[in-house]
Amino acid sequence: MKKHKGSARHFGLKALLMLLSLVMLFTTLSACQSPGKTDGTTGDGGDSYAGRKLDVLFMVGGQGQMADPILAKLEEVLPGLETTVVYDHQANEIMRKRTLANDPPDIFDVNAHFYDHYAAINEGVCKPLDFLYDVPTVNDSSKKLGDIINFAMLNFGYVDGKHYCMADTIYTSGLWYDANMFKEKGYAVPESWDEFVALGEKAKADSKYLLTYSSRYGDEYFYNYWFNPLLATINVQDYGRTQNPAPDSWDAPAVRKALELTKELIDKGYVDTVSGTLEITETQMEFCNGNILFYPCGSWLEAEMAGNWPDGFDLKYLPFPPQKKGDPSYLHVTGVVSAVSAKTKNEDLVKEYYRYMLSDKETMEKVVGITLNGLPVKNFSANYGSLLPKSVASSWDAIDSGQAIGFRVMAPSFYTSLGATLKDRIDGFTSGEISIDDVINGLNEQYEQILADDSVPKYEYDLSSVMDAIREYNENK
Amino acid sequence: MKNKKATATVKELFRSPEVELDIKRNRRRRIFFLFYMTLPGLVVYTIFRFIPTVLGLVLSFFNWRGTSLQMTYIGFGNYTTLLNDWIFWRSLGNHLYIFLINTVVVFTLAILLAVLLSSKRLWERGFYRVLFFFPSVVPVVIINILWMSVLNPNIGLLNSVLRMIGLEGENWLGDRAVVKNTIIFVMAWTSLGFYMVLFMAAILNIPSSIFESARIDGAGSIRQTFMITIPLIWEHVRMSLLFFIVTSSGLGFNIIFMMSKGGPNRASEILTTFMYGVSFGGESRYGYGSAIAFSILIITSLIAMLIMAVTKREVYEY
Repeated sequence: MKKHKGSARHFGLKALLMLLSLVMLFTTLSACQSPGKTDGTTGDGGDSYAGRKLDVLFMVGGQGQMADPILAKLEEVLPGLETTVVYDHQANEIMRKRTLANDPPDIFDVNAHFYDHYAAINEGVCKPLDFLYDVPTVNDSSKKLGDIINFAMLNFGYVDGKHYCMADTIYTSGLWYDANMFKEKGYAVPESWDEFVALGEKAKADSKYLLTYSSRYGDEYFYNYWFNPLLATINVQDYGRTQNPAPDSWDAPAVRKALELTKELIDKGYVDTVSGTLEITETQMEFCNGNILFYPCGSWLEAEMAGNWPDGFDLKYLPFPPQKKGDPSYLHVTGVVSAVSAKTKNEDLVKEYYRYMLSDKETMEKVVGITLNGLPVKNFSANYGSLLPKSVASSWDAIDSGQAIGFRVMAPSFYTSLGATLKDRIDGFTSGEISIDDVINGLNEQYEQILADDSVPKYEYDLSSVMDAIREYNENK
Repeated sequence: MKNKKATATVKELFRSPEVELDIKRNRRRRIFFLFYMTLPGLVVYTIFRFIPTVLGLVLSFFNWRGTSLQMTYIGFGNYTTLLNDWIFWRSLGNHLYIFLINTVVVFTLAILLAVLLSSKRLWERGFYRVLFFFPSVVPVVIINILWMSVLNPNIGLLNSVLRMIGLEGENWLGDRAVVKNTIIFVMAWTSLGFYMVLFMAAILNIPSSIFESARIDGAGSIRQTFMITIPLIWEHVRMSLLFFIVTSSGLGFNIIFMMSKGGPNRASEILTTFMYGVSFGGESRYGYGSAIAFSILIITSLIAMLIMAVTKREVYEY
């Protein structure tokens, strides 16, 4: 009898433990669902779009929650439509997992630095955007999206004559400075490289640095916003040469000169190399604090450092100083991009999404109000420039006036292994650990490896739009 | 004779088929019980550890960009690349340097502090225990932010104090000559308290009579520490070492990834940050990343086995 009682208790205990184990297993498995915020709303049902769902995945970044006004508008104009948007810092990882699970979102906007868009395009994950071009615009049905899109801004994701990526927001880049400090200290805004260097001595006398750039993120901040614009002002063809892999791409004379000019600034003590080794916000704080005259960065700077600008700081844009006064200036035009999943079953809804994003004035104003940067539509600056922060608007003015010619640096996006080599070489070069020859040879070796690797698709970097802009500039001069 | 008979009767009793059946049944029940109790853990372990490890090993033989299921089999190609990659060798060198020095620093200081703070003569020991253990309960992100602000070369507390006493400050996280030692300092600061508490628990378990006898025999504090305390807690130290080796790669990753990003120019890159960089950090070379992960597994296992072999001592029971 006693034994029987014991067994029952034993069984009960076992059952309880089993139950607890199952609960633990269940909660563990539940926790494996993708994280992130889900803003899903459902229409009132019984409408033509009832049961339809548009699924959007977005990274968390400088463009903010820009999908919100677009999706809200879609829910308003397409009754019954359900929209889901997930904003996540790890959107690239969510995208990867969802693609592998054969459940990709309809539209995805993930960080190009952590997601290989070109591999995704080659492997058929993305849908070409041709299907959007015939969609009539919202405000003027006589026009189609293909008529208003500024295709020059869509060079990221352009493969075999087709565009696969839409620029959700466009960032300009260049040198930023505090116009108030220039006024107070009597510094003249440099219009050429020589004037720029000459300012270095004045800054040094005032215990300031002429410049700092992030060497910790050298593959982006140094390479995109400092080195390539400088290289292009020396010889734009040589810049183009470095974008296409060849065993001697980096042997171009302008590359050596750009590195020599940079080294000269470092050797003269004009560059704050210490702040460049810090986290990006720490580096930028040195600029905000007025210890540095110029900071090469993208046009998100004003929004990114909001709350840290001292009173009276007047952030202004300086087109990169050309080697000779009167020559054009160059800048890297970048942006975050979205793409459409090849497996989307909602092509019509995707069309509507981009239709409202690019051609509905009310939605566009809301989007620009969130991103504080440009959209890839023609005459953007003229129509929406007033919505941009003053500093960003001044960079667009420089582009629109033809004074600054934009290009998008593509090589690190084409060949993802290049970024790490660039970072290492720039880091070593800035700290004086390696020489100019080491930089050039290291980058040439990287291109040789890329050329030898048959698994890496090769792309042709097209400089024609830049050359056209230069021609136009010279004609207007 | 009577006793023999009694024994035989007991043996016979135990050999009776009913009893043997009962024993077998109980044993079977026990096995089933243990099996069902371990099953959930085993399932979780298989799903989240074993299968991913095997998949990782398989992946290391492929070239995979991670954007779709398209993979190219390249045999030992990733391992060949790894052996010819200067970043791998620099990361390995940094990895071994950081973990060797960190282990020596943490374990020496943790044992020393545990001995000191176990002393009843130190009336304020409770305060020190909390003080030293405190970093172990602070999230690593907070620790990183805290130290990044202290170590900032322009506005950081450390350089400000150094300048006040007339010394030149350093670029603690941006100068390749000092970055590794800075990382070691932060890692040691973070994990010291945890191991100190482990060793204190072990020391407090040693009967005080052993120390009293030693004192009567004329042994001083240092002699007691080396002749009694350390030998008697040695098994705890060994187990802690094993735990430390397994976990410190993760801690090292967390600290380095946030504080120095492995730079400047890979001066603080360790194998885990290198692996993250090539797979998730923008290069999207998942096959190569898996090959690095396997090299970490092999290296860590070898170090663990080596340490277990080298530190094996006679176990004293008390």
